[in-house]
Amino acid sequence: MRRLPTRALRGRASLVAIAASGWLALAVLAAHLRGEGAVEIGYLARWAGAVLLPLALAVPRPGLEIGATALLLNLVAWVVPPGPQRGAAFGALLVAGVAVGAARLLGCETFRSRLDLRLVPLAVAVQALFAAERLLRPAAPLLWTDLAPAAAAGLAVAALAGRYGAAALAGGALAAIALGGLGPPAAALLLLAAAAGTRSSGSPRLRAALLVAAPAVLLALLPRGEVAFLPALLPLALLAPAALWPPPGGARDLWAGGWLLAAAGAALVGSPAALAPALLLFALALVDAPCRLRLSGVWSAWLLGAAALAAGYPWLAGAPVERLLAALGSHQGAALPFQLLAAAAAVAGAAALAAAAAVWPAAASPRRLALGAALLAAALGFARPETPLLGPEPTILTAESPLWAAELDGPPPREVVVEVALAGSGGLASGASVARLELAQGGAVAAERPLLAGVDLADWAARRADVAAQMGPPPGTAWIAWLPPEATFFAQRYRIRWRLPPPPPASAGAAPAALRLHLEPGLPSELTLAVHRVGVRR
Amino acid sequence: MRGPIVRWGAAAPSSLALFTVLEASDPLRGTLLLLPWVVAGLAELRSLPGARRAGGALAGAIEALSLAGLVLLAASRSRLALPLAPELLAAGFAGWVLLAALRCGIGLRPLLGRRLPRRPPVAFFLLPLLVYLALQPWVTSRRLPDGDEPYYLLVAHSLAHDLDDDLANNYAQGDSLGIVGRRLEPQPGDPTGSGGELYSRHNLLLPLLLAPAYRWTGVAGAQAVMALLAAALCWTTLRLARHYFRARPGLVLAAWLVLALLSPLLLYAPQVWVEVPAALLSVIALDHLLELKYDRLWNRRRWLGVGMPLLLLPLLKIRFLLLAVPLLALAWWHAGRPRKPLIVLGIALALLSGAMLAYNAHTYGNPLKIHSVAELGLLGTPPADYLLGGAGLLFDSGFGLFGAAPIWLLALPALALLVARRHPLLFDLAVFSLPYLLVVSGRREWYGGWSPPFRYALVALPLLALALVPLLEQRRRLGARWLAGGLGAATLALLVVWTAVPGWTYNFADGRTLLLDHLGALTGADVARLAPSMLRPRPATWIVPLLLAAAVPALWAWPRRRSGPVAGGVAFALLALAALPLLAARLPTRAVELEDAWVAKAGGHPHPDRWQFDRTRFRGGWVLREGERVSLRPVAGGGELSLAVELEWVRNTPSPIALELRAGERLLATWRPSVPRRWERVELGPFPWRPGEELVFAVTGPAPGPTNGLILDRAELTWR
Repeated sequence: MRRLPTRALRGRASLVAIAASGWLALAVLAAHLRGEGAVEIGYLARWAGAVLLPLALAVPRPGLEIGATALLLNLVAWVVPPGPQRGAAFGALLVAGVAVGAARLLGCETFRSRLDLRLVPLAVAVQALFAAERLLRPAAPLLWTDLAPAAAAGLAVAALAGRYGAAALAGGALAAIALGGLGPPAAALLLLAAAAGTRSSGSPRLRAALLVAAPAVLLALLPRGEVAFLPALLPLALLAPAALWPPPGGARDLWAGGWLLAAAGAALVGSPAALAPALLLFALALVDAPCRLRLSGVWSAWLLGAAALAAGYPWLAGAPVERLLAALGSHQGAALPFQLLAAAAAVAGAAALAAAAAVWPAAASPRRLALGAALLAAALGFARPETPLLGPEPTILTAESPLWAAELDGPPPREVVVEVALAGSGGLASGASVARLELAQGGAVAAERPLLAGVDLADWAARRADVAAQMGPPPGTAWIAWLPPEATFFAQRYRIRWRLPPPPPASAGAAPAALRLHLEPGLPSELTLAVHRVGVRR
Repeated sequence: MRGPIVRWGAAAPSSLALFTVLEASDPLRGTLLLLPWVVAGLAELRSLPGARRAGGALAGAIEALSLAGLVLLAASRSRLALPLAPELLAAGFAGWVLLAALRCGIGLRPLLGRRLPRRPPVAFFLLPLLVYLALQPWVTSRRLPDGDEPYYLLVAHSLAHDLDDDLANNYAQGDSLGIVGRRLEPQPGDPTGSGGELYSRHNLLLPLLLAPAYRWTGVAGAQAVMALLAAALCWTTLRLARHYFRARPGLVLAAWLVLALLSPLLLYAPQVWVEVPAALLSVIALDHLLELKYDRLWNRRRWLGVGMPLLLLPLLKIRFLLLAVPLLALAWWHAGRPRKPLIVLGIALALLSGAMLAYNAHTYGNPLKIHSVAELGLLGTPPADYLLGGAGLLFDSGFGLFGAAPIWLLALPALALLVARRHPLLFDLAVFSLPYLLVVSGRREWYGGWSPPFRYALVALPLLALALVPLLEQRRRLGARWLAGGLGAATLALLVVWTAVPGWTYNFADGRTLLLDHLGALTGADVARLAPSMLRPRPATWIVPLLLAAAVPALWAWPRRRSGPVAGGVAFALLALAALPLLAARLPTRAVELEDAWVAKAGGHPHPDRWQFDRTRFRGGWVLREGERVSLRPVAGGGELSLAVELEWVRNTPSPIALELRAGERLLATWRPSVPRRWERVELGPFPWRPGEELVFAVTGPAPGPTNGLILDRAELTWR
């Protein structure tokens, strides 16, 4: 009779006990809080439990990240006041905990030699990060929308990793980024790829052909987007810049298949999600190119972390990949030359790094790569800070008090950012102009931008079932969510960026006088506009 | 050579670039400007010959990536526009610095060799200094100098700019505006001169030390000097350890890391308090006098090493005479009981003390400046006060060592082990600290006044740290690992809070803490009653210390053989955290302090004012005037409630007032005062009571506006 692996079980049990203790402490706090914070903590406790418990089953001992994450989450819950800052701190800690756990697990590299089932709970933990919105009111469908697909995806990645090593993990990460997590579409993609790619019989060419054909099935299931062919292809360069030129060795079939799938996806579907099969194949094709695989792996890890943050509370991005692409300079509203420039820069940077790594291998170490990417992004962020014009309390514009204005000093701003939310907008038609941003100079309006209902902004209760049924999902400008006392839906506010036109030559040197935001006249009297933030970037 | 060039070469332009892009008003500016230098410094320490990278390449990668993530968030915070972003990021950076420093410190273990060196490498001075300087910009900007600090700095200002210690012109000119942003007034009882001079009650030695740096770089320079002193204290403690545990460098390093990188020393490092230099002088003296054990040789170095600290201690603060005399006794003991050094140093100390008293009498008109001999009346203080004060130094939730840094609970089994082994450290610790602590614990202000926790006993912290060394020999036991893990995690978590919100280390002397008040306000339950307070004795005041004194050594010692994961202790810490609101919501309420945060107020104000000087002399209460009320939801212990309320009637006009006691809207009783300005104990009830009802104290009266009031101190609830 085989002896139970008691030591292994004891070690796993202790990690699960720590995760459970952390969740229990949050749940007890939620049960005893009074006021609006109680609702939020109850939700955050569910989210934390959904992430930490499977993570505890995945990470190798000693698993200090489980305890550290649980403790810090409780610290945040006790000390930080309720609001988006607490949710953001929770999300950042959960993503960090999963990232550290994944790094330690993947550093073991046991998945190369056997079917490492620990990748299954890891996949479930990752999917829990993306399931933040659905965890508000957990119900049985979560089993089919999140738990089972994530487990299946983890199993598929574990199977692929046995043959393709770390390339499979990078591919799984890229697929999750493109498809917004490891839900049913990602699970289907990865299972098909695993079934095709792990066949022990048949030639490598046949295996490659099956790896191209199988995921193509997914393209038929994805909803059709509205992006043109070339703009739909460009995100490839930003998501996998190190994988786009031919790899060495016998994996070129996979690489070519990836381009085939990318073209098909861009032509037939026209959305970033359609690039998922191609991204998977591009990653698998790097199996014999360790340096480029490392570049791709580090980059996809960063992107996956950012996507998980974007999908989590309080951001709740429905399509986190689009938010990532916007941050990288390739959002749908940008001009095509600008998108081409961003894509070219990404590929050129990856190629330069790969070439440098051939001369100086330490340059491609995961730590330096990750550090370099973050510091570069940080430099860009520091260089263009946003200056707030509004205090910490929101301003409410009503029919009686429809105007907010602020004088501008210093150099003229290049961009204005506002965070707003409507209330009582049930009777408004989509596309109706609700408010107007104006840049005034010398008493005259130098530039203006209307804010359109359903396009730029919507109701704060847009995610409530009855409102969503009437007015559709919130627009893509949805930014921060929070939990109202009812706790049955997420309240929402919206962020609009207004890139100002360059000032005319005659006004060179004369700074804009004022920025104004006012409600349009003639709107229903019950309609109000909450202005949470107005900022300028120079 | 390439390594340092790359490290420091990268730090300089990074810092310069941040200097140009960050606005002057950015609360994280100082932290971010210093960050490249801190990172370069840690990298430099890790690259020292012999140092190793603790945790391997993966730990290094995680450390680098977490820093990158924090920097990225700091760069994006203006775009994310989240409230409290600076505080959250400061907490993140503080956590990163602490963990990186701990990892670096563990990696420096090979530098200590197989036996502790006589002169530890300078890395053990630089590492804590790096941490203190890294945290200083944020901590000192969020909590401006407070308590005695601004007065020390004002004296330093006067010495630096006026070359005198007369503060009259400095007060008049508002020089304190550049120190704390407000005009300071002389502290009550500050000595004055015959010609109208205004002096500080504080001695000049510390301000003299700070004056050059203050002259050059202002307050930040003075605070940096304090950080240097704290780092020097850490280094000399490591040097001192060779006298007790020369063959245990690894365990000494572990104890040293607890001292150097955790609270309370880390809290005091950027602040201006005499306790840190006093501890440094004491450790220097101890180190030199313990050398006498080996050769009994009183050379010039020994005379200076023992004599100078002994003479400087009373110059720092006259009460440190209570440290200098025991040190002299220890020097005599360890040197083989010679007469000459005892006589010489004793005479020198006596002459110095006499000179100080004479100077004070001449300059300020009082030999003890602002104190009186009656304050030294040890015999006039009840034994219970000594017990409360002494226990409070360790167990008080607001001012005790364990409440600020739970890891120091390990001192309990550590001291027991020292007693069991009759270790020489115990003798030195007792002789050095007990006389001083005995006097301090009998004072009304044993808690240190307006200061971070453990102020007066800080001088004993280095020896307490060394006391942990024998205990750490048993660290592999399951219970020991759980304790270390749980207490260590709790300490680090609290330290992150203390760093992000440094004002929370300054508690009012009202039996609560700001953190407990916050938890009580969140839950609407009396959480503070579960924590011991020697300022406001309650059941937890004796239950918790006894429980800890029994449980901590027991858990450390059992079980003996099995090892286990350190992280298991975190589960205990989390369960203890969960137990707080559970217990607060289930233990029947038996006493209510009506000024506490968990009691909801609709009007009224605290009495006396929260900032009342020496507030412990007064009964803390809440004033209710006509139309004002307080309410709470007590945890019922039965179906019938009787109340005893302690209150005082403040009568300003002849208009009558009444106290109404209600259960929600149901009137239970009405009481009218008859004797003004006298504390009374009013018994009310019994009343039937339903669980969950709201208990309301309301003051009513016919006057149209607030004129008279009742000061409600506490209510004792009896359930049946």
